[in-house]
Amino acid sequence: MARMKFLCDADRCIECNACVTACKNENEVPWGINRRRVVTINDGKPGERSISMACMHCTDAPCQAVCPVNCFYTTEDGVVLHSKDLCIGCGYCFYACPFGAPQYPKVGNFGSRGKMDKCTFCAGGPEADGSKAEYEKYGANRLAEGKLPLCAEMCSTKSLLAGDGEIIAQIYKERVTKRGYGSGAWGWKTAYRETIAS
Amino acid sequence: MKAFLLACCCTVIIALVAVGSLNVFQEPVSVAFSTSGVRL
Amino acid sequence: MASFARYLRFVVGALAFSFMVALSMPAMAQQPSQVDPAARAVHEQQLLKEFDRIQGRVTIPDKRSDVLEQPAGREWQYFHSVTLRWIGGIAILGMLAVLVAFYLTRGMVRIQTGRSGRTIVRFSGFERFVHWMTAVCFVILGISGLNITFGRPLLLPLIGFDAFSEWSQWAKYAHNYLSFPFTIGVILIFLMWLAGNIPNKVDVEWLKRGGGIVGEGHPPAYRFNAGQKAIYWIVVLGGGAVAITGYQLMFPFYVTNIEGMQLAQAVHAIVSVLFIAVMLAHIYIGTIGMEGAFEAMGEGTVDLNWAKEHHSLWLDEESARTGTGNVRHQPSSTPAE
Repeated sequence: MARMKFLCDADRCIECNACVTACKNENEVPWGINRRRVVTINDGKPGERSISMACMHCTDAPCQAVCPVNCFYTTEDGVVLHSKDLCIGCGYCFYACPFGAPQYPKVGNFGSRGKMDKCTFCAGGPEADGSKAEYEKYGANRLAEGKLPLCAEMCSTKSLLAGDGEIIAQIYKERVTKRGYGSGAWGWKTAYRETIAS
Repeated sequence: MKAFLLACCCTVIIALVAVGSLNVFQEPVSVAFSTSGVRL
Repeated sequence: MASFARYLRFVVGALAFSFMVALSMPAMAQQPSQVDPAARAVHEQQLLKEFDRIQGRVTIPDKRSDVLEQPAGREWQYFHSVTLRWIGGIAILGMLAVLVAFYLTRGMVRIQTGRSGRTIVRFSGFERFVHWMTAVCFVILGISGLNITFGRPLLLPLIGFDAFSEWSQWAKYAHNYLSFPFTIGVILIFLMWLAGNIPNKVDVEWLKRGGGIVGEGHPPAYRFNAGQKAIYWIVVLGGGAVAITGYQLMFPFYVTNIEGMQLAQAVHAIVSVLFIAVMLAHIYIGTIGMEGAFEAMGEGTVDLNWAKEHHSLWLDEESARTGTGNVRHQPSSTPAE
């Protein structure tokens, strides 16, 4: 069974934000919620690095482990999803997430931060695949249609790869060999507890 | 007994006052993290 | 002749074109470059070693999203799911076990000389009001708080996902909004009883004699004995700590970053579970642990013999103040004693 992962090739990312735009459009993400974002390190200085980051769908996802109401679940493909119906908006998943993936509709936390929203690997949620209810709550379910997340599909430089972990790791390793350098798959050690030879 | 009942009432009242005033405070992220230029 | 010229032009053009194409295929012509154009760029593990979190710049208005990676999140999750449950479990169950064992061996501390039937005012109406407001809030805050840590392993399997989420949602509302009357109560307790809770030599003596509950006899005490003073300071300092960290959690990232939030939650949780354990002992002694104790806070008056045995110095002070020691009913005094 394929184990879905994300890989952002930090040497190719040009901060174009196509991934961000694609995600927002495909999933009708409300304003203020940032499922995917591009972070630039050393902006403007030599050696500037940009990385596109959303939920990494970690192995032993800490968000899933810490949730007081156990609203997360991991699919057979390794995609980490959650139920907005069960979510109480406590905000703990954000403290546990190494990547800042959970997003909340409210700024303050009195009562609730609102229902948590995050990248779903374009795999929807607990509702029936492709149903209207699922789309309204979680966005598109491309995986059920046999498609990969739109962020990676739209990446202008193919720095963002999404799909079967072994395949994208292989693609990345070939790239590194061919061009002679690579800064590694950022986030892989923290998310999947493994490294990629770079 | 009177003190106890009064305490329970005040607890509820203060909590409700908090609900009211904080809900005025509470900003949805669509407002907090967007500039007025993009709001329709 | 013209057609041959056209044919010749065509062939020359085609040859020139394919020649250019052949030249522009470097992969066939050269080895891959060994130059790393981004050699001066940062690497993930290097950044994590230096700062234990990677931060950059984002164009999103929410600047807090500029943290790319903070692996400490996994450690905080381990603390909350594992370490905290051990601390809380041992503290609370341990205290319950100690109290049960104590009650079974020592039993309820009786008024040795029996009830005299005459009472003296111990706590005014205002004092009792503040205590009960704080106490009621504490119980609900405690239960709703414990639900966050222990609800998932203990209660969720019993009532199912939907019911548990619904209950947890209401518990969270109660927890967040009852924090206000609780904090007000703690502040009032601090102000009201500060004068009577300054430690002194009498307390040292009282402690040496085990307060009479583990030792022998009835060591003298003023209005509040050393045990009560301990409770007072635990309430004020512990209550202050949970209030401050609690408000930090209720206004996430208003004053701290992600590290600060994780620390606030950890402090809030640890102080709370220890606070609960101590309050269980306080509730015990104030109810079944000691005859004649509950009415002090329940009705405001205590039996004279109880006062003589447990707070003799306070009784002497009161008698001197009012002129007589046998007052059955005193008019309400000023809040600050």
